[in-house]
Amino acid sequence: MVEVVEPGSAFGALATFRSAAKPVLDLCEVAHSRIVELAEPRGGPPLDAMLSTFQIKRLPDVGEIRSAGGSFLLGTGFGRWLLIVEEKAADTARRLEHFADAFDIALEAADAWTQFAISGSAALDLLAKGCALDLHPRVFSKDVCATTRFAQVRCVLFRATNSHRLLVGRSYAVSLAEWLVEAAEEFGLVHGEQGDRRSAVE
Amino acid sequence: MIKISQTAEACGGGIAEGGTTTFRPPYVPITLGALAGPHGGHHFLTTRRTPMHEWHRSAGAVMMQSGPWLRPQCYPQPGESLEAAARREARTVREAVGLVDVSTLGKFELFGHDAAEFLERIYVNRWSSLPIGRSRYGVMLREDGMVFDDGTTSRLSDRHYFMTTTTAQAGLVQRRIEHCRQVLWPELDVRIVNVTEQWAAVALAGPKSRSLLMAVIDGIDGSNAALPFMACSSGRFGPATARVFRISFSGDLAYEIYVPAGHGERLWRAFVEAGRSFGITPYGVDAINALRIEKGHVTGAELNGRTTADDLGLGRLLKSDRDFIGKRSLSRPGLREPKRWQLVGVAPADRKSVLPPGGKIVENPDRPAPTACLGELTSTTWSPMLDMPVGLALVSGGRERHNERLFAVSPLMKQCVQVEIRSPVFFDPEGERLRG
Repeated sequence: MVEVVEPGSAFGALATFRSAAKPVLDLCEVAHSRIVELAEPRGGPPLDAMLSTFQIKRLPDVGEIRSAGGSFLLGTGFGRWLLIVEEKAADTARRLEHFADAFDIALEAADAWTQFAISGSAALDLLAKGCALDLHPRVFSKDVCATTRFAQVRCVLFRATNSHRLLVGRSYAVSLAEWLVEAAEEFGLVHGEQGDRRSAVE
Repeated sequence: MIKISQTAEACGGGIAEGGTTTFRPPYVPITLGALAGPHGGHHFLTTRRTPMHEWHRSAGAVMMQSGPWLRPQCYPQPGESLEAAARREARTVREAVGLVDVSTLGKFELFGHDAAEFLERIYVNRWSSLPIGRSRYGVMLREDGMVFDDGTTSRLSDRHYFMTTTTAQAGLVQRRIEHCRQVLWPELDVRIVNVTEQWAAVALAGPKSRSLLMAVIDGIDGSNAALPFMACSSGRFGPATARVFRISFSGDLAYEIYVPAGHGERLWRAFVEAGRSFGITPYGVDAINALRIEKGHVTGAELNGRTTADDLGLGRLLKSDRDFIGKRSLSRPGLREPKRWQLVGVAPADRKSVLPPGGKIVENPDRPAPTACLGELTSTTWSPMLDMPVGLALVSGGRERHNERLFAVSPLMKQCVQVEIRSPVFFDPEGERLRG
């Protein structure tokens, strides 16, 4: 059984960075998503319901991602999945527990990850600085996710509707934010909507 | 190109005659900075921060690197030296209560019918007899019989275990156990999930830690009957589950409390707030060291890749009727040699001279070189309970040398201190504080 507890931000408050001069880059933390690590699918009605929600016939393979509404199901390893639920519907907790019932192992992992959303016309240029993957949309489509080294840190990368998402272990979040902000300097990134967020990354 | 040109010149011809090697980038010399790219300065090594990092900084902690982690070394008060701060913190733990951030420990959850069998194979000690709700200290060996890592593992339910590793070896342990699971023993029904990032962890230590625990965590009966030494339970901290383990690295009455990382700083603040009336202090790595040396507990300084479990006084843990990684190597004659360097306690004979860190142990410092080196100091500190310097050392045939007087010398620091070899357990040898 997954215990649904509101997860916190690794920054104490949401970290938001935005390019000032030209709207070419947005970088912000996506906090408060529900994230569950899944393994050992049980089969039966709960799994069928989950597959039906994602409109798929089988669970995604390693490197594949399926989405439905505000939910993402990522194949992160052999027999391992990461379920991310972003929508804040009233029945989210119940639905999450229902999904978790489809697996023998379902571990709450929202506090383990920090998620960044990177969008804008310079997003791919920024991401290319940190990893060796070919992120051209023809190759790195919305059906693809990757567990890879980004700026020397193990990250999970995928595309959401309007942004690329970068998940990193919580303890690395501030370091990675520093790296991203420095790497994005050429795009005129400034710190924050809510005043000076620099203190969060120093 | 430069090397090819030089080679051709040395051979008395030109590049055309000598030929070239297969060209691979970079074709022309480039600076090391270009190769390093952005991975320089403070990005050379990615820094990891615990969920309580901002609290530590705001409390004036002096932070130190511990591998990739930033950890509080100590929390000096205005005008206080780092050494004095560590002594104050350690003394407060022994007399009242202290709390320390142990979120950096490696944490793994093991599931499956064969989880206990898996533990039997990777640890030297026995796991199949561990009851639900109990924790056990475990030692892992390398294939060559040397100690690889140690930590505690707790049985949360029939097929569910929670394992902790040292901060330093967490990554290597994960690599090792996944290799075992996937390659060596794929037939075992066991799944391992690394949950290091998910859980923030606080250790409460000291004679008042039980009262403080029960004041902050709901639904926990901290009495000896309900939660004895090496037992585990769970309670509530606000909306979150709090896992509570009665285990102790300090050698005192102590608990480790784990909550989801997003609640870590709130838990820390709650302990600090409620602990004021108990005289609480946060303590850092220096005080941890003082406390564990007093108790004779080993860390990376002693788990140095050259010590066996028996060298460290942990030979009683080795099970004789089951195989485990490293067991066969233990029968090598060199690892059964009675003169091997063994863990001992060391105290200055005059009860006041500071022990030289890393000092070599010799019988006679005045003897002309070469002098036989009998061992070395691995850890030194000031004991808050004995009010004098103490240390741990690895000394040849050390267990037979208790009460013997030798010398700790450091030519580099120009120090020579006469020392008495003792048991490594300076504090509470009967374990009454642990079980109290």
